[in-house]
Amino acid sequence: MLSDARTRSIIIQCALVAVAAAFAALLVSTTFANLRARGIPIGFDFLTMPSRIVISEAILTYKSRDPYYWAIATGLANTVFVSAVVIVFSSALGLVVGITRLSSNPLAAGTCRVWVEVARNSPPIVLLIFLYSLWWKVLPPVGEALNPLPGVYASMRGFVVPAVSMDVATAGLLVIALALALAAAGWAAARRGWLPPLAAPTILAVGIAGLWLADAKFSVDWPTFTGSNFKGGKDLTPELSTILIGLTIYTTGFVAEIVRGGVLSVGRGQWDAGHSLGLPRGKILRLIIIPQMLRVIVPPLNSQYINVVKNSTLAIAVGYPDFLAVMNTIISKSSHSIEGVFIILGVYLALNLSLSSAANWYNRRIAIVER
Amino acid sequence: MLSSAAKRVPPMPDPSDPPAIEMIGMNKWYGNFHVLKDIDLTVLRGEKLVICGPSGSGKSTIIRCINRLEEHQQGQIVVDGVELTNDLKKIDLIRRDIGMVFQHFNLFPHLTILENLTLAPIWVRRMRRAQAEQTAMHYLERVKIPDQAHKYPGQLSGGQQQRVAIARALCMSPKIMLFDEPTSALDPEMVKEVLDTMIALAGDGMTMLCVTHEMGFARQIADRVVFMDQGEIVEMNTPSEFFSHPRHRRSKLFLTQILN
Repeated sequence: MLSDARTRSIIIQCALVAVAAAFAALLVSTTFANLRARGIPIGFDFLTMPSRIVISEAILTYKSRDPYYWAIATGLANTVFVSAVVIVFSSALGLVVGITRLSSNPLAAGTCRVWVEVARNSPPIVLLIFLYSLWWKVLPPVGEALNPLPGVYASMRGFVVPAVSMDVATAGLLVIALALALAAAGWAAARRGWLPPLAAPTILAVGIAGLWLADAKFSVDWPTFTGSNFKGGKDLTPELSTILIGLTIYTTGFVAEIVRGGVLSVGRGQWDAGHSLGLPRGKILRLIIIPQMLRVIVPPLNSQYINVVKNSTLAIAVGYPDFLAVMNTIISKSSHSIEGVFIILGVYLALNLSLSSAANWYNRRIAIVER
Repeated sequence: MLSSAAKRVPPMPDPSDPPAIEMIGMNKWYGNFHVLKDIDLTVLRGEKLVICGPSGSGKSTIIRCINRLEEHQQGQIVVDGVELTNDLKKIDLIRRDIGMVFQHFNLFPHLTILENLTLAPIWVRRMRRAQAEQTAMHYLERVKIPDQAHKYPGQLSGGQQQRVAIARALCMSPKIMLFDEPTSALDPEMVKEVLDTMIALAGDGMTMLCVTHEMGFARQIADRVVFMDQGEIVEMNTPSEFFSHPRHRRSKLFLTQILN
């Protein structure tokens, strides 16, 4: 009976599970006993208590009177915001840089190569600290702020940009107009097979004219200098700017290499076929090479996106309150370290698993049909 | 329609027309390797040329120079009255009028058969989609696979894929068709269906240059056979003369090798 392969494997597996369970039980009971002996409370009740911690900047609205769970949500929102912005910008830039590296223009290809090598070979924390130190070395004090574009100021205290605000009705109108424009473009593309080159500017112009006719309630809050600081507008602090720019530069290097490999993975014959039909280079890239490349690059790209989420914890080095930084403060303030660590692990696991499943879904959707 | 076309007598190439392709003293190197040496070749409108020769003789390179998939370094190539230079606009104009069929089909695997056929007419000729699809279906019927229109290339047999590739080139209404070993990558039982399609096309008076070792096909449709070896045109003659009385030692050797 014991020589039967299946029985034997079941017995071994049961034994392994039993040992693991016993070890976990021992760990948990010892921890609980020790915590109780020292009078440290355990449980998640603290989450609804007022936190009284300070979060220096937040995407959500947060006051130190708010409970712990809202502080956690605020940190999480900051992390999601940073990760999302970095993922979007590094994907777009990485596509351009990766393709330009294959260009026959030596200057363009060389510049992109330098970018890739610098980004890939420096530790991200060095890049962040270097960039952060630039704010004080390069940019002027707030009184002499640079004014590269109307309403945009750059100084030691970060960027100030005009803030656009609108009432709910206008926002709704804008969304409806955009949806209509997209639908019209999609319909035209399906009918003709291609979009005339002036389609996008036309849609934009019609949209703006429409909003103006509908007497939209836009208000643009232009920043003004009051003598000691800027009033109005939207602040982009040096901390947030550094983590966004630094991680984007860093991740772009990796995305560019993945894109380059992806373009090279599509055979020469596809280029030959495109050229022989009279398609110019740019259209061959857009219609033939990039759609085939996407299938190859989605899995490695997904690991880079996961890296972005993990690297966003480096925000702590420049003092931006990301999820990990906020959790750190919460743990030291509330002394609920075990619960805190579990929340941290759970959140990063959930973020990265959602990224992976989104990537897997996309990968299945675009898979090449064979037989 | 195809079978009747095959029996129709093709219009005879007229030497007084301006030639379709003219190569004068053309040379090409890959680095230090001299691939094509002093090529002089004139192809008349409606003429069918079969190019053969041992592997590495430069026969694929010569037809890839005609639509500038390869650049030549010396001499002149004039296609349809336009000389091939570095002018990208001219090259794109020439390319849309030259169809090409490859050894490995080079269909676009992410597009359906119909999309493979309509891509260039839509994006290069600015044709409306409905019209492009109508043209595509017309040519799919000519190559006898209209029922495969909504499948992907990976779902078709090699012979079917190559016929789709021929239809894709025809959708651009080319003046010249180039075939680069169109049957070499096919299973033996699929060679005939592709050759039949090409024979029907020849019957319609298309100017054709085929790199192929299908000697039966050469006998049936070629006006001239060009034999190349080591980057040179060694011999050029009508198929009956070339096959029965090869003049050159190298042609004789080649013919004995492929006929056995």
